[in-house]
Parts: sequence; structure tokens; C-alpha cells
Amino acid sequence: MANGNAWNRHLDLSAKRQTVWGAAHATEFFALGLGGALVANAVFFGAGWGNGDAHRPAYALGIAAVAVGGLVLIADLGKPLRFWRTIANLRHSWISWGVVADGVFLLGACLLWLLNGPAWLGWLTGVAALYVIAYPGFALAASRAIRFWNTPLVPLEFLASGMAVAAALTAWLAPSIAVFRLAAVAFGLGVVLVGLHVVGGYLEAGVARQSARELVRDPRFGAAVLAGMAVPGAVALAASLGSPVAASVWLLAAVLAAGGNWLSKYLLLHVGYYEPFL
Amino acid sequence: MARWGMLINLRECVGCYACTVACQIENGTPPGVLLAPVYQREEGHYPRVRRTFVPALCFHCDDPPCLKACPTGAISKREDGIVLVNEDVCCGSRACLAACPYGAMNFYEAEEPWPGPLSGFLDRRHQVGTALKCTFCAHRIDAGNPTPACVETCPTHCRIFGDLDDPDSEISIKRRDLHAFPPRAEAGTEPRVWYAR
Repeated sequence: MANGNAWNRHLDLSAKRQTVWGAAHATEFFALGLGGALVANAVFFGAGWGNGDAHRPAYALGIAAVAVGGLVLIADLGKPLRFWRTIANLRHSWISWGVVADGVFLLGACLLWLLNGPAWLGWLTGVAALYVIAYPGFALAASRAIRFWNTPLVPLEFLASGMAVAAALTAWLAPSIAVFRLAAVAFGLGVVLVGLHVVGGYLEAGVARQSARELVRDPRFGAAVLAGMAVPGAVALAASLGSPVAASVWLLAAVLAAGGNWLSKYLLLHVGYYEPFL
Repeated sequence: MARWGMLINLRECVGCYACTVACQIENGTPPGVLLAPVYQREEGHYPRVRRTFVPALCFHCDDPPCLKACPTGAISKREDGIVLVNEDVCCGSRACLAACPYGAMNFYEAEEPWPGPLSGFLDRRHQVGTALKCTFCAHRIDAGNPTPACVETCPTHCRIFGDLDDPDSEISIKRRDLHAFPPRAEAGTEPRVWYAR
């Protein structure tokens, strides 16, 4: 973005598309969602892979993804060297708590990966992982400026879609009926939540309806829902009901789910509009 | 302690942009950053259409969403109600830009030359990579002159600045007499800048 803000480009008082957050933030949100969900799925549902119950490779991949997400965030700051200050507003800011959760997650997951630590550490890291997945959604949902984001559905969507992608990846690497069921439930929830969000936007007046309409008319949104959620969800449902699914199909489902997840987050940011204040 | 606020009478604004320019000069803002923009709006239907002007600035909300969104705590609210950004603390997350319902937050992305004869002019009062916003000219208030540059410059006196706690101040009287209203009241931010039509 250039100097100023979205309002100052054209000095007419109309709905303005937000220009603050874009592809870099979608990448960050995707990476945090995938990384956090790999660990959360392993801790809470035993849906990981590796030697026995240790799930060390899942933890390693989760750590790498969250680290990448964090680095993308830092690189996008106007003053990257002041990154450490982002934990200063714990009283109000979802992002401050998110940065704390990132730190707890990275430390805890590293200990689990290296030492296979005690159960309480697994639970602590799992709780931090859930917040790592959801906090970008909380930050968006808290915005009273952009009505389409201003709903508690957003963090729930982030949770469901992150856990779905991680479960699809796990289903490819370590297939089991429990993982298939987890993937089927997560994809199903993701589709329902996205549907509720879009319908809710349509039912609102003003810019939320404009956002919902633009989202539905964008063919990329259809691709993200169909190829990124519905198709992998159908594969997971079939597998959980006992149908044999080849590893290559699971790989394709995981790739589609990952692409759809990134795209849906990017489009959610893209259709964010500020309402005229008068 | 005064509780500063502003009333903008839309009937009197002629769209001369003197406030915008005065603010840029007073605060040394870089190109593209407008702390006191004037928006245009078309009202009515053909053939009864008219263009109106809507001066704006930071509304110094009593419940400022920018303050809550900022992860570094760089945004604070003074006792007199003025909301300020500490550029020495801001990390440039732009969370405040996404949070403000009034488009009052600006981001100083990069040093750019001013066009034309002003190309050699670069005020280095502000830090690249940080958020900027209207301060109600707090430096003037602190120096004993409670008149922001935009108010002082306005040729039609459409911006009225004063103490909201003083029932006899011009702003308090006109807020009552002109049936002034807050912008986007449903956002719940309790802005201190009101409009009158």
C-alpha cells in the first residue's frame, strides 16, 4: 500500500475496500492455522504421525509452519525491529495475546518434539495451538469498521478450516479411521460456517451485503469452497464410512484443501469494505 | 480539565480544502497522508442532485477501537480526551487502520517527494513505517492555544472546536441548537466530533 489509507485515494464518501491486509496476511493466517492445527490435532485427537504416540514429525512441521507465519508477519510490519513490542497491549489486543500464544506454542512444541514432554505440557501447547489458529480470526472479528468481518463466525471458520487441512495432510501420511472422521467433521463444519457467514452478510444491510455479494460472485470463492472444502470433505466422509481411498487421492485432497484454505482467507480479506461514516 | 471536541456544520462547508492544506503544513505530513481530508458526496436524484462536502479528521472517540487494536500500546488517550499515536512505539502493524470506522488512521509507508515546486520539501517530523493521525493539534493546546490549524484556517467557520464539558462554550450551544449528531453512532465508539446539517 502507498502512503495514507484506503479513504484518501478518492475523496468521495462511498464504501471503501480495505487495503491494509492482503496476500501476505492470508499467507500468515494460513501458516498459523496449518501449524497450530497439526499440533492441536495430534494433542487432542491423537491425529499425528511418527513413531508411536510421539507424533514428532507432526510437531516439527507444525513448528516450521508457525515460524514461517510469524516471520511473514514480522516482515510485513512497518518497523520489524519493534516486533517485540507487540505483546504490550494484553489488556485489549487480540494480536498481543496471539503473539504470546505463538511463543508458548513454539516453546511447548519444541519441547514435545525434542523431549516428548509430560501430558500437561501437551495440553498447554494444544491450548496455545488452538489460539494460534484462531487469533487472526478474533482480530478480524473485533473490527467494528469492516462489518463483514465483525462476526464471531470468523475465528470459528479459521479453527475448522485449519484443523481440516491438517487432518487431510495427516490422513495422507498416517491414515486411520479416527483421522478420516476428524477430517470429515472439520470440513463439514467449515462448509457450514462459511455458508452461515455469507448468508449472514446477505441479511445485513450496507457494506456487509456488498461484501457477501462480491464474494459469491467471485469464481475463486466457488473454487475455494468446492475444491478446497467440499471435495476433500467428500473424500474424508467416504473414507470414514469405510470406502478405500488411495494415498494419492489423500495427497490431492490435502493439496486442494491447503490451496482452498489460503484462497478463502485471501478472499475474506479482499472483500472487506469500510462503511461510509455519514 | 477540558474535554475537547469538534462540531462540523456541513451547511457551511464550501469544499475549499483550506483545512486539509493547513493541517499538512502545521503537522508536516508526507504526500498521501491526509489528517484532515474533505470528502465529497452526491445527494439526491436527477435532476435534483447536489454535491456536499464532508470535512473529517480523527474523531477522538471515547471508546477508541484503534487503541484496542494496537498490539504495541502505541495509542493512548489523554485526560482531555485527545487520542495520540506514539510513533516511537508504533511497530507498523496497521491493525489500527483496519479497526477505525472513520478512516482516520494513516500509514506512512515510504518517503515520497512532493510534486512540482515542492519536490525539495521533506518534513522529517514523522517516522516511515508508522501510523499517523490527527492530534487535535495537541501541541498548540499544550502551548495554551486551543485552536487546531484546520479550525483557525476555515474561512466559513464550519469547524467549531471547544470544551464539551462547558455548557456555555460555543460548541456546546451549537451542538444543542443545530441538533448535531455523531457519525456512525451504531459503531459504539462515542466519537467527540459531531456533525450538523
